Formats: sequence, structure tokens, C-alpha cells
Amino acid sequence: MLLEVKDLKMHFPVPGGIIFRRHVPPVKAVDGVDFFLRRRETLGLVGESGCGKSTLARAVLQLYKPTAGSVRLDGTELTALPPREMRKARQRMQMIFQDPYASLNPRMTVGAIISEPLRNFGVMRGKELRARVSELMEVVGLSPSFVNRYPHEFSGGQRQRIGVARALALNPDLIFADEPISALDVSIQAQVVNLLIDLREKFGLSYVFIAHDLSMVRHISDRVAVMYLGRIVETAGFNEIYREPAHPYTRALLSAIPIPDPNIEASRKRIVLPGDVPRPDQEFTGCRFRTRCSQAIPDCAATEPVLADLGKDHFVACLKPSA
Amino acid sequence: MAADSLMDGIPAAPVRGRSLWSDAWRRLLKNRMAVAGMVVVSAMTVVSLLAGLFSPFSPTMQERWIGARPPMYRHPTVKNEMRLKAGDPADLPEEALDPSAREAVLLVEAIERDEILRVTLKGGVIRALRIETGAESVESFGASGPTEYLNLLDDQDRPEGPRIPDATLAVGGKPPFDAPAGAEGKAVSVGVRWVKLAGTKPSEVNVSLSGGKVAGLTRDGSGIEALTVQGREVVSFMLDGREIAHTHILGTDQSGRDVLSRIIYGGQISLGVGLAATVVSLLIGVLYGAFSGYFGGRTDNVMMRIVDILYSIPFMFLVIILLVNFGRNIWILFIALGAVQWLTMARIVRGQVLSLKEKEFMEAARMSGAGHMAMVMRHLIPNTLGVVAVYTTLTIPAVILQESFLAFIGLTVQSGTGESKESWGALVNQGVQALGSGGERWWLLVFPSIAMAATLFFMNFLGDGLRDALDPQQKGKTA
Repeated sequence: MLLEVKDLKMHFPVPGGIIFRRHVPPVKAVDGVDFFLRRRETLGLVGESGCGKSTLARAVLQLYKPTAGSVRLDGTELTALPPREMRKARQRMQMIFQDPYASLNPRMTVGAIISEPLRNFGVMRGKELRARVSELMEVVGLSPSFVNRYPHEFSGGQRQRIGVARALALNPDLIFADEPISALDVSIQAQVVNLLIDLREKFGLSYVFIAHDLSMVRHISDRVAVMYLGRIVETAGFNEIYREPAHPYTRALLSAIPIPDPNIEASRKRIVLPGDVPRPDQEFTGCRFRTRCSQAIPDCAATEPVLADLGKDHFVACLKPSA
Repeated sequence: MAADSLMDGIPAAPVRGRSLWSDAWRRLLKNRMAVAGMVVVSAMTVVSLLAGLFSPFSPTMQERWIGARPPMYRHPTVKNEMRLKAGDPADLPEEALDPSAREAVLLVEAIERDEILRVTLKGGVIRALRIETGAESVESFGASGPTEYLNLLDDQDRPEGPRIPDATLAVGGKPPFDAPAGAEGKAVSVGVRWVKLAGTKPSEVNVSLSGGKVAGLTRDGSGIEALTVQGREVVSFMLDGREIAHTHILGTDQSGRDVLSRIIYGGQISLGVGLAATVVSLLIGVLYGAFSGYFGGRTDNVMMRIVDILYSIPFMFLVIILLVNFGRNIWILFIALGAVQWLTMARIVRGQVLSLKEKEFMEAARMSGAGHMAMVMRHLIPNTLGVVAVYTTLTIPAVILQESFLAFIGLTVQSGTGESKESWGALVNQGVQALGSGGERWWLLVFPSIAMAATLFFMNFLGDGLRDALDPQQKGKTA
């Protein structure tokens, strides 16, 4: 098991009051998440905007200090590591960011950006470093002759490749890709996904691939985890979840995938969820999805569902999972 | 083949990237006013830095007998006092010390009276005139010739007093000068010195030279052994038929110092103070603001409250107190002005950092293992430099103005050797004092003012141009 996350919570305190402190409930962006990732496996993390996907990634990577819970990388508990050790552990985990425009320092050349992790960790220098940067650029499909260019001279897809090259620099085991393709043109999205797949085969990487709809994770994920309001509600192999979605929210998400055939598309049945996502600073009892669930029963308000094993790597947090 | 052709146009050698700086530079070059600003400001800087090369005279060289003269004033080049004696090395100005020179002809106007005249004023008219040296009372006194000089003598010799035009002072008449303050109803001493009496014929002094030494000396044709010629007596000076004279392009002040030279050397002080204080404020402000914004939270709160407190101190007071207590040292001034300017710089940088640190590249830097130092120095500060550059070009003129204000109220700075360094502010101050009731000596005020105003003006143009160049989206909007 490469990565094990148990009951991870990330609550953000909200400062209240101008002069006197008054109690304001914290925003519970991630509220008790369990998942695991095997070596060389890709987990697609799916959920609508604001459900806590990016926060989960940052809490796992210890960019945020999690409120509670445990994150184990190869058996090492990351939440308890002193800063110095944590910095070392970071070499094994990297991240690809959502916005290829904001994630590259506009004042640095491509070469400086890609070589930064190597220099920071003192892995290599001089000629060796330059050779490594060229190699990385080739690997991600950029001409090494662009090494002295600046990010603003590249297109979105090329910039995302720079981000990928930076993430690869330290030869990590695990890469968190935080919606790496949602800011890109549809025509470019496939290129980047294919690049990530190629790199996975080549370097034996493991990914947590975050996206906000299931169609995006289709090609790359071995397993999919569906998040709703700070919790994972269902996780299973991609084919399994596609054929037999057990959670009503997953079914709604699946029904939103457009089909590239106008005839089928016209007759496609879509599940439209009523209402809005509840505020993440609300206190909950029972199931979080019950306010929008068509199959809610009175018990849903009383009992909080936990992830239950349905077999075949399929887990679902629902009192009334459909088989 | 298709895949190969994609790489065809790409040269094998690394392509030079175009940084945001070079982009901004190109935009700046398209802005005519900014280019003009850049040219003028760099010209001013070069001229001030190489003042020794550009200034026609020494700014401290006094030719007191000339007094304040308007622009383009030309007069013979002489020394204060020239002791000429046959056989001795010729005591003539450097230009005449050419060993090949054969003959120098000096037209010397004898100064018959170099006296102090006591003028008693009552009810705006002259009540009595007394020549002090001989204690002799006179009814009238003709003051004429090229170098009349009038001097208020309240308790000490003050050659800066107003000069009077050709005039005759007579008992019962109005004085040809503005009565000094407090003169009404009292007896005031006024001196007239170096009066060349009208009608006297100048005598011709012939100096034959040989190898830089005086070979022979004649005065009005008759040979003499030795002669001491005062510079102020010389009407013209010919060397081998060539006139030895110089021109003060922007005129002279009351001590006969060249105004242009004084402006050039004054620029050294003004620009130097502006630059140095700005550099001080840059160093402190950028680092302070960057770390404050980067650490955020309580640290930020405390650091920024300190800035607020310092802001509330009336800083001109502070600067004045510092200058008065620790001496008018130029370094104190640099530090005092810089220490005040950094506050705004820190605020600006902090604001930038607050928004920059939420950008994803900061998270990326953390993921890349960057420490606090690297985050601030490599990722935050370079991204604030655009705004910092703009603010810097606007700070320099602000500091120049502040220094000028201090100099204007009399707090001029001194160099390490105790020599007074007169900045443009000090020159303007002297210009105002010397202006005269009708603005007779306008050149003493106008030229230093133009130098200062032009510099401030073009620096502001440059700053505006930089702002537009570094942030094209802001163009046209007021800050």
C-alpha cells in the first residue's frame, strides 16, 4: 500500500467578530476521509466544485496541516513528521496544479522552474542538472531548446507540460494531479492525459487524479473515488462504478456524462439533483446527501453512513445502496 | 515525417526567452515621454557624476569683485592678486603661463577709493554721508563704473548686500537702494567699496614674458621693477594679442561664483541624496514588506502596526531633529530620509506579497522543497519588482524635493570635511534671498529652479512610463 489516508479532517477556522472573538463554526472542507492507493495505481477523485477535492490533496501532501486523521506514505506517518523530515518526505510526492498560468513563476525561465526541486534538495548541479532538465523536457514533449524561455511564451498545454516536468524532476512515487486538464482546451486535454498515462508506464508512477466529472477520469483511472461535501461517498474500480454505481450521488454524476452521439444523447436520461449543496460550515447529523437524495429514508437523518465493503474493491457510504 | 516536421522550425541551440522585463523594456521604448524622461534623467546623472568634466569652473571659485552678474557675463581671466616682478615666475592665471607666450598686456583701472561710506537714513532720505576712512563728511558721492558695490554694514562686513546701479548719493536725496529693514528713523551704515571713479584713465601694464618668467615690466610706457595688480582692477587682459577672458553662461552669484558650475555640483548632492535615500528605503522596505506579507497572521499584524506607528510620527520633525542633534552629516540625511520612505515601500510590497502568496506557484515552490528564504527571495520579491521599480522612480523625486525643502529652510548638509554641500534646494534658497525687490538677480533663482523642476518632471514621466510598461492593463487608469 503506497498511501493510506484514515479519517482525515481539514477544518478551517473562520475568524469572527471585529473586536471581540465570537464563535463562528469552522468550514469543514474535508471531514473524515478514508482512502488508499496502491503502488502504480491511479485513483480518480471526482466531485463537484467545492466538495473538498483540492483541500484533500493539500492536506494529504501536508501543504495544509490537517486538523485530524492520519496520512501514511509507505507506512510512514506524515502528520507527525517534524518539518525537516517532512521536507525530505516531500521528495516522494509531487503535485501538478490546476491552473497552468498561475502555477509557474512568471519571472523564472522554464529551465529554472523545472530544475528548482533538484536545486532545492541539492540532488544535482551544474552540467548534470542541465542534462536532467533537457531530459525532463524531452520526456514531457517540449523541445529542450526552450529551456531559457519564460512561461508566458507558452500555450496552456505546453505550460501544463512544464508543470508535469517539474513534478517529475525528483522521481517521485506519487503525483497528485489537481484538475490538471480542466483549465485546458478540450483538444489539449487528451494530449495531457495521454502524456500522464505514458509517464505512469515509463516511471511506475502512482497518481491521484482529481477531476470534477467522471468523463475526465475515464481514461486514466484504475479506481474512482466520489466525493461529496468533504467526504468520500463511494469508491470502486472504474468499470465497476460505471456499470454498478451504488450511491445515488454517483448515479447522478454518471448521468451527467454527455454521450458523443446525438441520438443517444437526446434520449439520455439525466438525474437532476434538487436544491444546492449545503454550506460546509453546517453541523450535520446523518447522511450529508440526504437533503438532495431521492431515496432518502427517515433513518438517513439519524445514522451517518460509513464506507461499507461491497466486495470487488467497491466501497459505498449509503444506508440504502442500490445493487 | 509529420511528427518530425513539427520540430523542424525549432533551432537546436537554446532559444533566448523574452522575459517580462524585456517585454516591459520594449513597451517603455515606445513611450516617447518616458524615453525623453530617461534621456534627461540619465543626462543629468552623468553630468552630475562627472561634474569635474562638465562644469566650466570650480563651484567654490570666488571672483568677489564681479559680484552677481547676469547670464553670458564675460570678463578678463585674472587672479585675485598678481604680484609681478622682473625675473620672477609670472604670477598670471594658468592660461597665461604658456612658456611660449611673449607678451601680456593688462589694462588696469586704478582704484582710487576703496572706502566705506556711512549713509544715515531718516524718513526715507539720506540725512548725512560720511566717508569713514577719513571721517570726512560729504554732500554727495558719485558711485559709478563697472564694479560699484554696496554693502550693508550693520555689524559686520557683508559682501552679499545689494549692489547699486550707477548713481549719485546726495544728502537730502533718496538712497539708490532699498533701505535695509529697520533703517527707518535710524542711522544705518552703508559701505561703498571698490569704487572706480568715473573719468579716470586706465593705465596700460605691459609684461614681457620669457619661458614663463617676467622679463620686463612697463606701465604706461615707463619701465618699473615690480607691480602688484589686484584682479578687480583689471579691465582687459591680452596675451600675445589674444584676449584672455571667460564667460559665465548662467551668470554669477554675489560672491562671483559661476552659477552653472554650482548647479552641476548641486545636482551631485540632490541626485545623490535622492538615489541613496531611495536605495535605503528599497532595501528596508522590500525585505520588511515581503517577510511581513509572507509570514502573515500575527507577525504581519505586529510588523505592520510598527509601520503605522512610525507613519504617525511627523517625519520632517524627525529629520530636522536628527540633523540638528547629530550634525548636518550627509549620511544622517540619507538614513533619515530613507528610514521614512521605506514605510510606504513596505506597505506596497506587503500588499503585493499578500496577493502573490496565494498563487499556485507558491504552493508549487513549497512542493519543490523551497525554504522560507527561497520562497521570499526567489518567488515573491522578483514578482513585486515591477511595482517596486515604479514606486522607486517616483520616490527619487520625492526625496529630492524633501532634501530641497530641508536645504531651503537652511539645513544644508556638509561633507565629511565640513565643507558645505549646496544642493539645488540651497541654491534656490540663496536665489530667493538674493533676488532683490524687482527680481534684478533673477538668474540666481530661475536656473537652479529649472534644474530641479526639470529633473522632477522627467523623473515622474519616467515613473509613469515604467508603470504603463510594466502593467499594460493599468494604462490610462489613474493609480
